[in-house]
Amino acid sequence: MRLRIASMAALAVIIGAWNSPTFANGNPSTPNDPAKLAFFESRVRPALVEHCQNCHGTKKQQSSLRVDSREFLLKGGDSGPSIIPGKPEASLLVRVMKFDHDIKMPPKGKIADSIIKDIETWVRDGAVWPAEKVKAIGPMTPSEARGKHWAFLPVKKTEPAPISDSAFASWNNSPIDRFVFDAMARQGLKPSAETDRRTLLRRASFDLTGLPPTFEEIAAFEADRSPNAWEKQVDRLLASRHYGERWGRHWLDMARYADTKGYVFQEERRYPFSWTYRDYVINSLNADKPYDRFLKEQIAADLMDLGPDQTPLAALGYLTLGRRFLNNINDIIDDRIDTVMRGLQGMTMACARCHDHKFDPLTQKDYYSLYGIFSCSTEPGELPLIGPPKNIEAFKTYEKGMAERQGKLDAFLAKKRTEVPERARREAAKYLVVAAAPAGPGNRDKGIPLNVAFNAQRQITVRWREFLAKPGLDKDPVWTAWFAYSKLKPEEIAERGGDILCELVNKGPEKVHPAILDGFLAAAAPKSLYEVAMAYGRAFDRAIAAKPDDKNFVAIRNVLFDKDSPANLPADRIEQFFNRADDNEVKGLKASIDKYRATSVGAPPRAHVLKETPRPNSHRVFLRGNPGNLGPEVTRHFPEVLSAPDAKPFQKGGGRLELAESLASANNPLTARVLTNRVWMIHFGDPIVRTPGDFGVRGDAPTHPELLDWLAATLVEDGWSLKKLHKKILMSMAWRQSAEVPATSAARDPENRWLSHANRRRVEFEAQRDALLFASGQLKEGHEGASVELLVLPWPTTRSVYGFIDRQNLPGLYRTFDLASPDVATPRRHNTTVPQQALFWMNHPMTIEMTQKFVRRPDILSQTDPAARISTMYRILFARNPSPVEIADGLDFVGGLLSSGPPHPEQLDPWEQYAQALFCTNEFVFVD
Amino acid sequence: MTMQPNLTNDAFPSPMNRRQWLSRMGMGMGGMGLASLLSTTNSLANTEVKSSNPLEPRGPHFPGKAKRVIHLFMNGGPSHVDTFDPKPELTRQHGKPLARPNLGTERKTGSALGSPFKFTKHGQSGLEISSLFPHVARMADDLCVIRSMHGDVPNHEPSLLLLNCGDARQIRPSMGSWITYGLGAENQNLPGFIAMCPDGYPIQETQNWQSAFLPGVFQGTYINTRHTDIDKLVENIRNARLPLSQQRRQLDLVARLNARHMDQHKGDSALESRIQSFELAYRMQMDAADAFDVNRETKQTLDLYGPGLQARQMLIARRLLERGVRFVQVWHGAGQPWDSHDDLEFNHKNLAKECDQAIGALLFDLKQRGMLEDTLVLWGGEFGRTPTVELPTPGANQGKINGRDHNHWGFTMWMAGGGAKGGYAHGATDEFGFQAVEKKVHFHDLQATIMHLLGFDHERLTYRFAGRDFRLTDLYGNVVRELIA
Repeated sequence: MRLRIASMAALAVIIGAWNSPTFANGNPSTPNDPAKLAFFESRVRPALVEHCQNCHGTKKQQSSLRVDSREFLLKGGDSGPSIIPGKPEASLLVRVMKFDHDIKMPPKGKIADSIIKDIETWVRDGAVWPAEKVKAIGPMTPSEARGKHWAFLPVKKTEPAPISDSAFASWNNSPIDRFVFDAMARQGLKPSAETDRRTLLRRASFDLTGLPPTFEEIAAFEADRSPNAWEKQVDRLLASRHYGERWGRHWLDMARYADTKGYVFQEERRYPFSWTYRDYVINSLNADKPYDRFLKEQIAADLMDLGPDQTPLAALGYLTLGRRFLNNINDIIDDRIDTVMRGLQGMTMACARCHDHKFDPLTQKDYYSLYGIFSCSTEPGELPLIGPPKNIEAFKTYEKGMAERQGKLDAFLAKKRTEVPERARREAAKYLVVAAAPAGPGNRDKGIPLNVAFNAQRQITVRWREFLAKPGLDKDPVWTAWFAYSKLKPEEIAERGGDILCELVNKGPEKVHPAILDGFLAAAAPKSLYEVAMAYGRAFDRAIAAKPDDKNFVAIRNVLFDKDSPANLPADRIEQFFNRADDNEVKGLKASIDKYRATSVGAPPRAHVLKETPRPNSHRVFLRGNPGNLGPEVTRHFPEVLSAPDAKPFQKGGGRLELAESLASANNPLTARVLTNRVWMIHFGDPIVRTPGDFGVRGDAPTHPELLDWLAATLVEDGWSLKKLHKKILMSMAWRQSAEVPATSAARDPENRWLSHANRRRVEFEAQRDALLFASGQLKEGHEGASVELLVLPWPTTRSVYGFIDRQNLPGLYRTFDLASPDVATPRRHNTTVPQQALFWMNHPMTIEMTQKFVRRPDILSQTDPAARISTMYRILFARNPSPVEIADGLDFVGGLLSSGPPHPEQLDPWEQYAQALFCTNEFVFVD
Repeated sequence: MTMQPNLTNDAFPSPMNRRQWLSRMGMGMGGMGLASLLSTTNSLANTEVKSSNPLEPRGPHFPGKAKRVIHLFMNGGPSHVDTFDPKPELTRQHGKPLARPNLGTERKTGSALGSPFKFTKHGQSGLEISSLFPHVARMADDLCVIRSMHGDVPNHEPSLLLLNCGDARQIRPSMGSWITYGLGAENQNLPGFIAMCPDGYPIQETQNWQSAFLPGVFQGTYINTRHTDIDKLVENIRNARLPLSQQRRQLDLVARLNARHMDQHKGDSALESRIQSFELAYRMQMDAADAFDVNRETKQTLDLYGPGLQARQMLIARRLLERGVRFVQVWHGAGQPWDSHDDLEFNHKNLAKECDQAIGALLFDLKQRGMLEDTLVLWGGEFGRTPTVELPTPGANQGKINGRDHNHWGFTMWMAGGGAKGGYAHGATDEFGFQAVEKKVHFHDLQATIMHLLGFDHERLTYRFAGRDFRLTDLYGNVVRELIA
């Protein structure tokens, strides 16, 4: 996210125009000095245009810098002001052009000295610039936007006017219909008639449960003459447990839900308890948990008073179950910010990672404020239990298996707690050499001869480096010799190694420890720091072998064994000091535990939670998104544009609970709008704001703004009940219209923005697969525990929402059918038609097997009359009776095959071929 | 990013009008897919991406020299100093510690390791190529060797993503996805973008050919070329329980039922395009079976490519390109085969032996068929290797002290055909091959150049997602004009 920015520049205009201090000292040399202006126009402006403005002008503002006005130059970019009038030597613009700074510009090479001189002169003379209006580019400020852009204005509920046209009296009952009717009328359009009951129930069944209705359900509805027949159907469907499975999946699209972490190296790839989040979502929707509560739990359940039932802790999976980017914390947090802000608020906040948002009033400070909130929460190593094991026998096996694996890990760590410090002591002398070399990039193990097998461990090197930096150490008899050599250049050691040794010998045992001297004297005088270290190594070896109380070695042993010794590695953090081989081994052991946990049916459910750190740190802006480039400190607050003008920064702990409260607030102008827009989209096929993930200034404005606000306000008034919202929509005449396109609508409103008819829709992959299983009589009710891979034999028959989602290697079939990407919040899926989708219906072994199971349903098999059998098939698949022509078609097809001889045993029999054809039809996967 | 005028829309102001126009032209149902635009704003040059037929061929920003791309991915990182970047000074200093720039790589390395392979001049251009690639060397005058490539980090995962997707960590569409998005496919009966890798995935797996936020149709279709059976090569390509002739009858029935359904719901483009998709799928079954069946080649051609898996891969690739697949990525093997931390001489010799003849044959074959002109061939790994020998690191290598570490500071890739300048070596690394020093070419520059060869301004082929107009080269990349013929 590194678009270049502008809003700081835009601000500069405003500030500069009034009373900013930079402006106060600016332009002292009167703008109407014609000679200076002429010099500027002939010598300076052309140079700035030619050499700078491609990257720092109206089109691009690299490093947030523009050089096309005096104000922008005074304000400068990421690296501070570009010019200080009167002081060319202190002006960044001049310095970078002279290549007299870390930044050297232009990047292609130094420009001619004569030009640089001109610019120096111009700056020295006060940097005159003619008065001119520079068009500020960039977004409104947060405070401006709060009063201007529709999405930031408070939600305002209005009552729609009644419809006077008596032909549409039925549209007067619902405010939804009055809004829709009014908008339509303004376009000269008229609503379509209500669709027939069969179509209506089929539409509602797929909409609310993701499954087709049965023939019997249709018949019962058609026969129901009571005035509230329709309402009863809506209530029935909303009460179905399949409702949560259907709408839970819609929510999981927004939560970029997956069961894996993405690419990992040695770690276990699966999240062991992702499914507890999935179940939380399904169960919450089925229970019609108020949406504000639902949201709050997903952001901060760990900080809420949940009472005895800890299940809602699983809600935090909304934040925690994203991609892991090989554990890069900046990317993990960025993903969480995007999921929260785009998913719940329709704000493309992630654009502000590297600079203020280019179009929307979202600042980089807002971004790092959220970053600060998330950065002071971590994931505990031991995830909290949220329920009892489901199966006691399996649990016992699981506990035994866990104990076994944990035992192996514990034993390994115990062994390493002794081994690693021992190795660190043995290698202490070599660490001296590496620690003496300057830290920084480049080849590892500086100073160690290439033919010596040694790999310094970074953390141990750091300890030695800190040790050697202790003040006064050079006076310590153990260390005098070391410092005598290490302060020298390599060539000096080579030249004077022997002389120095003589000097050391002459200093006497008070100044130079005898055992260290012995170490030197056991070999030729050192010619390199490495050989000096080897002398120490000999002394260290003897000290290690000596008895602890041997006074000849006590001082040296202290260096290696003392509490503060660099080689005395803290046992509780021993893994930090592992070398690569140890690392590989411990990761393998941990992965085996994680894998066991993730795959054991006996593992009791846990929640992937966050925990706030006890002492939250303040956070700083990362300039240009670079964690190595720190900008100003930020408070933890809700984005300014969405806060009251006098809002205070968050006070409680890391601020995550307050973030949750701000999101779930009835005063938040976006929360209810974004949600109702998406609910509307799923029911109608198109949303009211056609960019459901972008409510910013570049997003589309709502087609029906009053309706959107009415829906949002009503949601809040109804206690944030989603089910009440669904019901209001499904009860409306607007929703109940026929999908056939009237000629006027086709001509005047081909995109059906004004809703003069329903939209025919192809159902998503999940609903297609579920309908297949449902028709074949195989669909399993409910599901417990971990997700299952849907595309492996034997074909699982659970609903698709329980399918395992590996975000790293999402099956090609899922991409083919436009499933939501598990890497980004997806408010709306793509909707493509490609031949690979047809191949699934024509050839996939699961399709074939389910077709065969369908044909073998007892209610089909028992129909011996071919026409009756065809009718039964139609009733199951399409919830209607076939027409005589359709029966004739079927008879013709099946009869033709039967008459051409006995079917090949390896091939689908005629009825199976016929049934598969029915599954392939448009009617099966489209909802009118 | 400025939006280009959308010609299709200008010509046909509304879908209804287009439909009417088509029916007047006698192209009714099934004649052509018509449907709404993709729901997200896109910025293609001359046309729209239709959700009903997202692979329909489209024109680029300006006429490109290349129409298709084949990327031969030597994953793991082949050593440049042993293949296409001769370093006589390194050979002279063999075994000695080198005064080297302060460049970090993944592991610790030691003294100079001269190449065990001999370099000789080839072709009229006199390009120097090592004895590892004798067949490729015969095509020297077609090679555009970039000796000054550089990346960002010395690790496989980020380097693979940077090269393939333009960003080292975040979720971004791959080059093949961008190109297929930009150009569509020339053949609707085959996927537009195919990634072939025998025996499994390379490191970073399917992310290497991800479409990310672009529609799934632009993602690379993965093919495990270890298999020879079409059923195992392409998912769902055959109904195991129904011969084609029977299936034709079955699909005729489907068409009849759908036509009757259409009659009741006239003029619905979504219904039309799904009907069409079954016809395309039916043809795809035959076209794919044909494309992947290398036994339909003449003995002469088979002999040209030689024996083995790599030969079959290259031959399949050529057949796919010939049939209008837009982007084919051919990986040497699962994991990271070219990653010779130990036994470099032995390993590189074997790896090159596996693919040299096939790559040479591919170049020759494309040329003799007149396809090299507009087919861009790209060869290389995710980085090169150090000129110094890798030292033992327990747990990381076998400690044999006869291999090379990763090196992203400077390495070689080459292009051929598709408008790339043949017989040309571009840029240089230092005298030992540690780092690129002359005319440096970053991955983003290479991507920009490839896009240019295909007719795209890499800054203008964008896709709006999450509030931002994304492109392959992120914010970077300059077209390297000198690489263009």
